[in-house]
Amino acid sequence: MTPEEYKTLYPQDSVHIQVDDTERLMTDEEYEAWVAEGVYNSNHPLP
Amino acid sequence: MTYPSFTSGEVLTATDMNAVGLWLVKTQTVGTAVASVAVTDAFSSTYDNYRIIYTGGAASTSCTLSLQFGIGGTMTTTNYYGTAAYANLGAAAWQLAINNPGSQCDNVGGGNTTSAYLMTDVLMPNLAEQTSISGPYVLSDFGRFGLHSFAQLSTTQFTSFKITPSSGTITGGTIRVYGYRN
Repeated sequence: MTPEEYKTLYPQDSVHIQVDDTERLMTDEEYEAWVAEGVYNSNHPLP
Repeated sequence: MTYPSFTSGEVLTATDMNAVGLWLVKTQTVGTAVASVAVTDAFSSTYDNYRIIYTGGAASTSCTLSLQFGIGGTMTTTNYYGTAAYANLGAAAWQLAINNPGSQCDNVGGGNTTSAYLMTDVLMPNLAEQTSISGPYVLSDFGRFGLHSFAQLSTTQFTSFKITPSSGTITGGTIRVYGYRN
């Protein structure tokens, strides 16, 4: 999976960070970091 | 009386109530399409040890769930040591997923499009000692069945924790935190 595919699957305006009952969208920096980690984990699953 | 079996209208004495071993400390409902969920005010000096259970939700894709500890909404991101040790059914072998160290307790729980789940016992999160966790590790989508065991080596007195899927998001379900009576 590429970052572009991941972003298409999970657009920035659809993913939230939750603290207790409060949810918010990610900042650009948070979103890019989250995409990078998610892509890496998707492409490197444990055996 | 013979507790824990009570009859309707029976007076509960201090002895009875003080014998209750597990108290529900906090309940947190998980929102929709959540990349991470932090639960604050979960740990305090009232209890030394806790159990965290998350069930009833689902993940957007097959994933593992990780755990971090923190104070309020700020999580500690270093010095998590430990492993998930599991039977890999496909390989018919025991395998290890090791953090030495890691930025979080990886492979504590798991999820897929029909369910998400995590259960772990947390020892001494609010004491000025290392925090340890252990519990089952069940990830049927990947054929993994085993246990997780981690330590957070700082002596930070944590009050909160955060659950994060390895990829995608989680939606719904309830996180419950129980305190073991000291």
